Amino acid sequence: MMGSSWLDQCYGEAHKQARVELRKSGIAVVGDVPWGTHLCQFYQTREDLLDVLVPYFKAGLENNEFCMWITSEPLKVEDAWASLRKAITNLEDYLRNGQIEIFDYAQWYARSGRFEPSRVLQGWVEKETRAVNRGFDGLRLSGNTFWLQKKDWRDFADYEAAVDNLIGKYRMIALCSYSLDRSGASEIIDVMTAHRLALIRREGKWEVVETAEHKRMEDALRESQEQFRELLEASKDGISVNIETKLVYLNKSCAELLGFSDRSQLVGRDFLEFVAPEDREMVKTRSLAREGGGEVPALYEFKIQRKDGTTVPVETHATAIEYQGKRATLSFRRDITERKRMEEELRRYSASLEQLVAERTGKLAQSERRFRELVDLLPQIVFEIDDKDNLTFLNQTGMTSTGYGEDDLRRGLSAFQMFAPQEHDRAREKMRNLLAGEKVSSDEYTVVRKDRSTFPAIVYAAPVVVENRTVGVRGVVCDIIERQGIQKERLGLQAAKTNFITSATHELKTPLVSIKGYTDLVLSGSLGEVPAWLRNSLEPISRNAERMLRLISDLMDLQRLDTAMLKLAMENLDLAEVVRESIEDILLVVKGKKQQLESEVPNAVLKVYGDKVRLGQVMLNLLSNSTKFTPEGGKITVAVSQEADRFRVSVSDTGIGIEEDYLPQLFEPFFKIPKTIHVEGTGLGLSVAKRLVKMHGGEISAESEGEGKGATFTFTIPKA
Amino acid sequence: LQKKRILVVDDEADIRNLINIFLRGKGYEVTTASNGDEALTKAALEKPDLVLLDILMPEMSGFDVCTSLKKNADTARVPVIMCSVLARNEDRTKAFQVGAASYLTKPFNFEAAARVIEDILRGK
Repeated sequence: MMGSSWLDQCYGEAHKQARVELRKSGIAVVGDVPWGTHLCQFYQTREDLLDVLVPYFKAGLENNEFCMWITSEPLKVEDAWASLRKAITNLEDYLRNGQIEIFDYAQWYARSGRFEPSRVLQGWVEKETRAVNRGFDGLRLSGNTFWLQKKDWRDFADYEAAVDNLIGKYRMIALCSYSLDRSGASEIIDVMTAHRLALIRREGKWEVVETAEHKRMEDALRESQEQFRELLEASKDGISVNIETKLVYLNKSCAELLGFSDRSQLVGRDFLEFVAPEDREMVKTRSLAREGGGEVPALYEFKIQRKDGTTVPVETHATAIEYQGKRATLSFRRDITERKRMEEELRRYSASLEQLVAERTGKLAQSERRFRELVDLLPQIVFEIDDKDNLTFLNQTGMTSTGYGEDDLRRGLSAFQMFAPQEHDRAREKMRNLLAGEKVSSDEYTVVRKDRSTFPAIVYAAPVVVENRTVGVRGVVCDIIERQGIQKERLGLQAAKTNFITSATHELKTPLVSIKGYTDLVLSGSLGEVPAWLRNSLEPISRNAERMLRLISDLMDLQRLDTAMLKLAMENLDLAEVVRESIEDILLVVKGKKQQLESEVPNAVLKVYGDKVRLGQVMLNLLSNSTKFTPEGGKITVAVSQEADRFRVSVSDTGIGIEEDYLPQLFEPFFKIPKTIHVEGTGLGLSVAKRLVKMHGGEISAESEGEGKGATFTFTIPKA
Repeated sequence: LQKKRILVVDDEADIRNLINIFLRGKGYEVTTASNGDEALTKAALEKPDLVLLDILMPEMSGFDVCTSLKKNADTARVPVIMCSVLARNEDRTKAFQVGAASYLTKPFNFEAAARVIEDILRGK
């Protein structure tokens, strides 16, 4: 073995491991040893040599090993033969079989007259090869170094190191004999370093000395080889070494890839057997070219035909290496069935994706065209502005009504050019807000056409957001010149109506003010004493004028409430005070009917936000209703209670009551419960009250147990 | 003690007369005017102690008359009570805006009106 890369060592180790078997050493203290064992013996006498070497070779012969004994002083070749013959009765059989050779050192080590380490080494390898070819299990040898001169020592030590390195790779066992007398301390150290085991006779007994350095190195080597072996075995890639195309090593994954569970059946077989026929020529050509040193792609794909005939696509990564001294190929193969399938799937997917994209693009174009046409059909202006204030799009209406065209947009047109100068600041701020995230806006602007004429418009705009980024603003512009006309007209109508109501009220009330005024003036007695008969005639005039005035007021209020023309004079006020004042106002009337009036108003300021006069009007309407529909001697109760967010004011009486069926209609104008007693009133009080309460954010309702059982009117008003 | 003089402005003759009778009965000296122009002239000439001014009149409204009275240094300090048959909040608000001292809705209760006039004349 020449190189010593990890791969070489690894395969060497694996190779050896594949045929691990123990051999009998024949030496009692040593016991069994594996192939590749390199021993040494330190001797002093001829007997020491025979004591070890005779049983050593005997065991070799008995175990079908080819034996080579190189002897020298103090043991001659003949003495060796004689000793063997004595120990092995059938030595002649072994001799006939050519199983043992004994040479003098001069015949082997120094055939040319001097020691040539490389030739000797080569000789051992050849002997081993021949032995194996002849059917022996391996080679057992022994050499004596008695002949060695001091001057040759260094060369020989190097030689021994080479032997030690080489022997592990072959089916060889070697035992080297050293004369203890001729070895100094440094020589002994050299010998111990080069050999795994040393035999030394001490007090008549042979002892084995295992050299620590050597053991450590071997352990380290074995450990590292173990690790590499594990790595190779753990690899999911099929790893093999081929010489030419013959498999000399393969890992478990490789065997599985080829369809075998037992890889021992595969060693020695031609890898081409497992290559699909169509790829066989290519793989063969490449393998041979690679081993011959040619340029071959390192990575390529082919199909493996497995034991069961199925084929598997593989990707292979092959490198030329040296293995057991020969050119070989190291290959890593990977099953790429899944990858092929995914590639195919990906190809199909991408094809369908392309089709899908094409379809979608078509649809998109169609939809884009549709919207474009719709946008052009709109009678309003549709626009888009980028974040640099450039107008980037105008629909057909936009172009016709502003006078700007595609050319203007292409040349670049600031959106602000389309607004009147006095509105630029406002427009700019709006634009900033929209770009900063304001959702939508609608504002009135004066739009300036290309010819500098203008029209009023409402601009509705919203930000254009692309991938979470606001890139501009788009919107709609409505020309409101027509709408403004309509609005003016409507405002005109409204004004006319208001005017009408005001005038009607004035004109209707003015004569009544005179009638009531003069009547009251006479009745006041300031013009002279009024006799009873006259008073009896004047009072109805005053009363009816008063009633007529109220009717007109209520009617106008109702009208103004319904058209939202009645404005409340809102202020923070005390509801309790409003209630107390209205009670005072009605007190005379109540007393006149000999009715009792009780009030349960909290002695506190009840803050509300409202119109004092109008709330008083609501109270008075309810109170006068109660007193009107309650017989003489009856009772009226006013109560104010509070809830979390509102006050509740109720006016209850012991009057004629209301049938349930009529309750919902009570608040309608001029509603009168049929067949009830005729009571003076405008018929509008409750309607007005209901609307006023509603305007204050409250509710009003009526309850009654039924006819003759009294009634309760309640309204609420939010707390301030 | 000299009688307090009140200028009553109203376009309705019957009402002018009614108020005239009532106020004289209360011991005031009364002058009347039937429109805005006449009112401004009489106010400037006679310097009344108080003006009772109707709002809704043709040509010049009570608001206009009051505004002019307040603009004229001679009449600016004369208290004005505005009155109307309309009980609208906006009228009441506007009356005070143009400088009225009080607002009465017609027909007014004579006694209540007399109290208001008395209070204003006393400078309350």
